[in-house]
Order: sequence, then structure tokens, then C-alpha cells
Amino acid sequence: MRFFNSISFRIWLIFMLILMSVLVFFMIYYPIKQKALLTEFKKNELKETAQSVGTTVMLSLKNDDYDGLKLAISNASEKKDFEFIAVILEEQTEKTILASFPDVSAEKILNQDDKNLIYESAPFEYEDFKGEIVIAFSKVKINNTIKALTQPIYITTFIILIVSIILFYFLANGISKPLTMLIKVTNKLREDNFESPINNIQSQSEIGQLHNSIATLQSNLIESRKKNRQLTEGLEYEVMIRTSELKSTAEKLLDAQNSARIGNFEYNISQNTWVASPIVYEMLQIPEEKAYPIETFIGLLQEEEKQSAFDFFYAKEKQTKNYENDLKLVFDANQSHALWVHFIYTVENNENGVPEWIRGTIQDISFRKRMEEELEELSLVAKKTSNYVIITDKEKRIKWANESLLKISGYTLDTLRGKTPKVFQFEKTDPETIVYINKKLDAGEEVKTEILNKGKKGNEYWIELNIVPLKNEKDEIYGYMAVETDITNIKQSEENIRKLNEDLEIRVLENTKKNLELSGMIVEQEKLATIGELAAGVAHDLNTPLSSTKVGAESLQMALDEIMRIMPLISIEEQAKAFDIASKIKANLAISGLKKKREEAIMLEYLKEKVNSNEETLNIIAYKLTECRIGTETEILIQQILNTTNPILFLELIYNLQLKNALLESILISTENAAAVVKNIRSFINKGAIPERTTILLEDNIRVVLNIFQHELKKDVQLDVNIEPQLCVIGFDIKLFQLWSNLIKNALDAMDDQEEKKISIHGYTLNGIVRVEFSNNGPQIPAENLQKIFRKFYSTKRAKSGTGLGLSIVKNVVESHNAKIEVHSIPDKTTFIISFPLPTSLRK
Amino acid sequence: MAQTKNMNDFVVLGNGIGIKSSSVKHLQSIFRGKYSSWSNKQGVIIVLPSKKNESCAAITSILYESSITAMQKFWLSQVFQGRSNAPVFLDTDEEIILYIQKNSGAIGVVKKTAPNIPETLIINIIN
Repeated sequence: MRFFNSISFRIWLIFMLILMSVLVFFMIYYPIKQKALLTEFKKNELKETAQSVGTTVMLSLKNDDYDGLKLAISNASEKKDFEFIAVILEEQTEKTILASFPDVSAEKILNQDDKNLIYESAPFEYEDFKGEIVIAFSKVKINNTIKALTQPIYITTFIILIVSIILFYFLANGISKPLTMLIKVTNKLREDNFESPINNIQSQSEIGQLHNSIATLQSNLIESRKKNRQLTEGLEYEVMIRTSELKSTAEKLLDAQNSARIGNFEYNISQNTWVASPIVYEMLQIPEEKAYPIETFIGLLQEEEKQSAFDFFYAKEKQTKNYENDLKLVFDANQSHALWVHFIYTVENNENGVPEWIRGTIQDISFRKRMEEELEELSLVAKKTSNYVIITDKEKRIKWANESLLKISGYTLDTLRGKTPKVFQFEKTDPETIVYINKKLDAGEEVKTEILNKGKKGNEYWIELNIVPLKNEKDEIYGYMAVETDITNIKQSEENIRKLNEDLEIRVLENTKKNLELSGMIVEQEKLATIGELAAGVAHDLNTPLSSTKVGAESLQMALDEIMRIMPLISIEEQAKAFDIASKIKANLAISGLKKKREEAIMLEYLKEKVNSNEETLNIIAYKLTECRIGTETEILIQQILNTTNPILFLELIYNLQLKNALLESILISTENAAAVVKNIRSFINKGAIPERTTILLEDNIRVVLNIFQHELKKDVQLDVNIEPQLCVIGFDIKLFQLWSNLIKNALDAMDDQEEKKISIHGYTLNGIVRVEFSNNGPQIPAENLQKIFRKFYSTKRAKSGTGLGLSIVKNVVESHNAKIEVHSIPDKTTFIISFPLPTSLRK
Repeated sequence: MAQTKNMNDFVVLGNGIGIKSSSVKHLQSIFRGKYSSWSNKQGVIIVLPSKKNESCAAITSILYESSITAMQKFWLSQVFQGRSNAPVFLDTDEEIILYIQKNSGAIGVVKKTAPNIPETLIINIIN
């Protein structure tokens, strides 16, 4: 409903009524006019067609050629516009129909009264032929044509109507929108609603001008209202600020009074009553309830001041001037609880010139009084202390010095004032200390140092100096205070101690030198002791090959005797054969008896099958063959032996020759063993040789030492040696002998009391390091001793005559090889790990 | 009989029409446009002497049994209504003979005395 009442609708309706009227008129008038024109056009067309056909009929008759007629009829019929076409002949007064196309009734042609048809005719005449051509056309076709023509017109008109409705709607809306908006705005402005926004419009017409005027009016109204509101708010804010400030000022005043412990009071002379700020009641320790008489206050004064107070307050005439005084209030008889107050007051007269009021302030100055007392005491301390005290200004000019300083320096205070502390410095004063002091003071920092000063009379004195910058409340330095302690005596004592230390160091160096010499001797003794301990083992090692050699030589003698006995008894050829067999087949001296018996029995059975002889002889031959290690598998050799002159003698010769060879080999081995023992011990004790750094195959180096200790190790130690083949280090072979022998000796000593003894030596490379782990199952070394065991002369086996140098030597050897040693000890296992750098040639 | 007697003065010629002989009745039917094609599918072309030919009235009398004007009305009506093709009207017998010779399916009538009547085109009249 709102739309139909709107301005838009009204504008739109007018437009639409005009448009629709035009369109309706057009849609009615246009078809009528079209029909009339078309009917006229068709009549003319039919007339022309009838005339054309009539002419054709006449020509056909004239020329005896009917093709033209046929063509004319054919053309006319192709159009199919006409209802029929007919030829009517007039003979005398009668009309007859000659032909019609298509066939229709004669009445329809002759009467020409069908209202739905339009008739047209054209006369023709040739010789005896006279008549007319009649052609008829259907009105329905004309109507249909009109419909066909007007239908697109109707559709187009309809579309134009719809489009126009829409366009007119927007047009009407566009025209009415600013008007509507302006009406709304005007209504709202009338209702004092100034905040409603006015949208911009593009129109430059009177509406646009009206819009601009209203928009300007609205913005002016808004601005005015805003200014009014700001003014009101500003006033309110100002009032609020002022109120708050007043309140704050009152609170601050009270706070200030409370902080400064100051309060105001007023005394009414005529009424003899006084009232005061809350802090005053608090200071006087009386309730804040009512007005008090002056006696309440006077009663708190000291006795000697009470009378003068009474005189003042009770005097009838008072001078109007300012009074100021410090008073001490006491709250108990012992004066243990007292309060110092600063009292300022003024006498005020009334309009008659009579004193009426005494108004003033009372301030608690107890703290200040205490500070003054403390300051006085501190000042006394500064004056009388034995330390030297100097106070300077910020340019370090002396302002004050205490008596002690004046005494030691020999200057008077007047002499020193205005001078800097340089007056105390002289050529022996350390310049670096002066620079240090100045640097710290310039940085505003406190200084603590020692310095040598000189007095006026040339007396030198050491002081421990503590300089403190003096700063004001703005943290600005306004001077310095130096407190100095005389440390001359301490310095002299230090000098004495330094001299004593120097003497002591010289003595220690001398003693150390002696100790080192002694230590070298002890090291050699340790080495000799080790060699002595090794001697028994070496003797045992030598004794074994020597005994073997002796026994072998004796046996060899017997074998040679036997050979010499047999050889003459057999031919030269058989001797040669025996030598040949003995060189090829070796004797086995260690074969067990049981095995020998089994082989002998097998051989006997063999011989029984092959040889025809008595059993006793066969027994001997079987025994001899087995002794010579000739088995049944060597059938040809056995046959050769049996074919000799005397097989038994032949076999005895072979055996003795085999025995001779075996004994000689054994003697040679024993001799080599003995030589090896000697070589090892010589290597170990070869002190005179100059050590030479070479590539040392660790397995060989350790084996030499193990051979030396073979005697002790073989007794009851389970030895586990596993060293990577070709594992090398660069070093001194003799020193490494010392290293391994000391570790073995140390392990053997540690395990001495144990039944089960184990030593393991593992060598391998790990991350470019050659590591040798040397472990034994001796007792655990306490953790606190682990770091001590490498020290010289440290030993846990004094009772067993240990020198305490073994592991010290180990450490020295390790360090001389740029190696490291570490020790880990747990119950039943102590491991020394020596880490050598891998030789460059072996690094990848 | 008179007709038949009269017909003796004329020769009916036909070219490629598939018949060698015909009765007068049949010929009347042919010349009145009753057939549009021959038995051999050839279209029927009727050739008649025009009004300038002296034989026109006689032949019209035989074949149409009417006057020349009536015959013209007949053919005007037939052509107007599209019922048949109109005949070819030629002024002389020579033109008629020549036309028939040149156009297969043509049938016409000339005087017996006409020169150069091709024997092969003559259709015998059966009484």
C-alpha cells in the first residue's frame, strides 16, 4: 500500500496511462488500415490477372497456340491466391461458363454473391468469342494475412510496453527518490533528529539544489549541536577536574601534613579552647573529639618551659607578631617517651584590636633532632677516629680532613684546604694506581685500593684507601669522601714475608734439584731391582734349553756309538739306503707306548701274511719297523728292507740315524731358546744405548717383556694377550719395555695374595688412536688414590719394599710418547688404558 | 459411312506410337485428348491442320464431329482446366509430315494427296 501512495507510483501511473493510450490506439487503427490497403491491393492484382488471362485467351484463339494460355493458368495457379478463375462466354444474351479452374459451381461463378469472396473480371473478344474472365479471392486469406502482419507488431508493442513499465518505474523512482529522501530528512530535522545521514544525489536541478541546502543546513545544525555538547562536556569536565584537584589538593595537604608530621591549630583566647589538624592530636596522643583547653598542651611541656608558656597564653596583652620555638613534649615522668615539635604561631586581633586568636603550626621534628644528634656523634667519630678522613669538593679540592690525617701528614687543615690529594703523592707513588683512582672516580664509582703517600716531613706511609663519591638527591656528585687506613705495618710485614719466600724458594729449588738427582738414582735402583727380580726367571728360562742340550748331547753320543757299531756289519749300498730312508722319515720320540703297541701288532699281522719266517724274528722286525715310523702303507719300502742282508741290523741303523737327526734338531732349538732369553734381557738392560725413535710393532715389543716375565707368568697367571697384528706406534722400544714391565710387575704385586690371577693385554685401534688395555684382577684401587698412584714415591706396598716409582716411570714413558694413560678400577678388575697417537703412515 | 468415306481422303501418320492400324472411333478418342501417352510410354503429340489449311474443316468434322469454332472451344476448355496438352496446329501438310517425322509420339492427319508421305508412318484405318 505504501508503494501505491508513493510519489514514484503517481509519476509512473501518469506515464503509463499516456503510453497505453497511444499503444491501444495504434493496435486498433493499424489492422483496419492494413486490411483496407491489402484489399485494394488484392483487387488490383486480381484485375490485372483477369486481364492478363483474357488477353492470353484471345491470343490462343488467334494463333491456334494454347501453350501461352497453359502457361498463364499455370502461373496463376502456382500463386494459389485466388479462389477460382473462370472463362464466361456470352452467346447472344446468355452467359455460359466455358471453363473454370478449379471446378466450382456455375451459380457461384455467375451470381458472384459469396460475401466471403472478392470478385474481379476482365472482358475479352475475338471473332466469334466474346466473354469475360472472372477471378475470385477469399477475404479470409486477407484477414489471415493481416493477422500475420500484425502479430509481430502486437508482440513488439507488448515488449515495448513491458520495457516501458520497467523503465518508467526506474525513471519515476529516480525522480521521486531525492524528493522522498528530502521529505524524510526534513521530517527528521523537524523532529530534532540531526544525525540522520543525507545521501548524495547527482541531480543538478532544483531538487539537487534543495538537497544541498538541506544537507548544509543539517551539517550546520549538527556542528552547532556538537559544539554545544562539547562546550557542556568541557564545562562539566572542567568542573570535575577542578573538584578532583581540590579534593586531591586537600588529600595531598593532609598527606603532606602526615608525611611531614605537621598540622595547624587555632586557639581562641577568650574561650580558652583550641582545635587542630588530626595529625596534631595524633602527635599529642589525645583523642580527636573536641576542643581542648590550653592546659592540655602546656601540661605536656617540660617543667622549665611550662611557666613561660602559662605567662604567654594567660597574658591579657599580647603583641601581634610571629613566634617560633622548638619544644620538647614529654608523655611520662621518666621522659622515656618524648617528642620534639617545632612551634610557629601568630597572634591575631579582632576588629577592636584585642587579641582574639593564636593560629599556627606544630611539626614533629623528633627525627630531625635524632639525625642532628647522630650527625654530631658521627662528626665526632670522623674527627677522633684513628683512620684518616678527607672530604673534597667535586674538583677533588680538600675541604676538610680529620685530626688523624693532619697528624700523619704533618699539614694543618688550613694548609690543606683548596689543595688536591696530589700533595701526598711523590715519586714512589705508583702512577698506575693514580690513573686507576682517577678513572674510577670519573666513572662515578667507589674506589678501593692501596697507595703509598708521603707526609710533609718526608715520612712515607701506606694507606688502604676507600673513596666514596658524595651525591645529592639528583644523583649528582658534589664531592668525595676518602677514608684511609694506615697499613704501613702490614706492608712492612708483607715485604718481610716476600723476602722470606724468596729465600725459601731458593732453598726449595736446591732441595728439589737434590731430590731429582736422588729420584734418578732411585729410578735406576728400581730398574736394577726389577732386573734382580727377573734374574730368577731368566735363570729358569736358560736352564731349560741348557738341560735339553745336555740330555740331547748325551743321547746323541749313544746314537752315534750305535751307528758306528752297525755300519761295519752291512754293505756300503745298504748304508747309503739307510741314510736315504732316515733323511726322509723322521723319528717321533714323543709317541705314546699304547699307540706304538697297536701299530706294532698291525705290522706283525702284515708280516705274517707276507713273510715266511719264525714269529720271533717277525716280532723283532715289526717292532723295529714301528720304531722307525714305517707303516704297512709303505709296502715296497718294507719289501726292500726285508730283502736286505740283515733287516734287523738295517732297521737299527735307520732308527739310530733318525735319532741322531732328531737330537741335533732339539739341541739347536734349545740353543736358540737360550740365545733368545739372553737377547731379551740384554735388550731390557741396555742402558748405554742411545734411545732412537722408531716404528715399533707393539705385539713384538710386548712379547719380549712377556718372555722375560715368562717364569712368573707361567706359574699361576692366566694370560690373555690379544693384539691386532701389525699394530705399531712411533717411540722408543726400550722405554716401552720399561712401560710394559712395570705394568706387569705392578699387576703381579697387586695379585700376589690371590689364588686366581688374570692378566689381559688387548691392543687395537679406535678412532685413529692406538689403545692398549692392560687389565688385572687385583683388588680395587680406592677412588681417592687413583690420582695419586702416578706420583713419585707413592706406594701402597711399602711393606713389600715397593719404591713408589713404578707407575711414575710408566707415566713418564707415556708422556714421552705423546700418549695418555687413564686408570679404571672396580672390584676384581683394574685397567690401565694407554692411548698412543696412530703413526702418520697408518692413517687413512 | 459418310465419315468413313470422307476419311478415305486422308492419311493418318504416326511416328513411334506403337500401332500400325486403328479404327476411326479410336482415332477420334486419340485426337480428343483422351490419352496422354502411348503403350510404349511415349507422350502423345496431336498434330492438326490450322485454320489456314484447307483440310481443317473436313478433318475437324471427321475427328471432332463439330465445327472449327467448337473444336477451338473444346481445346480452350481443356487447356484452361489443365486436362490435356493442346494440339500442334500447322498450316501445311508438308509441315505436318515433317513435324511427325521429327517427333516421336506425334500423330497427325494429312491429305492422301500430300507429297512425300512416308509409308512407314502410315496407320491403317480399320473399318
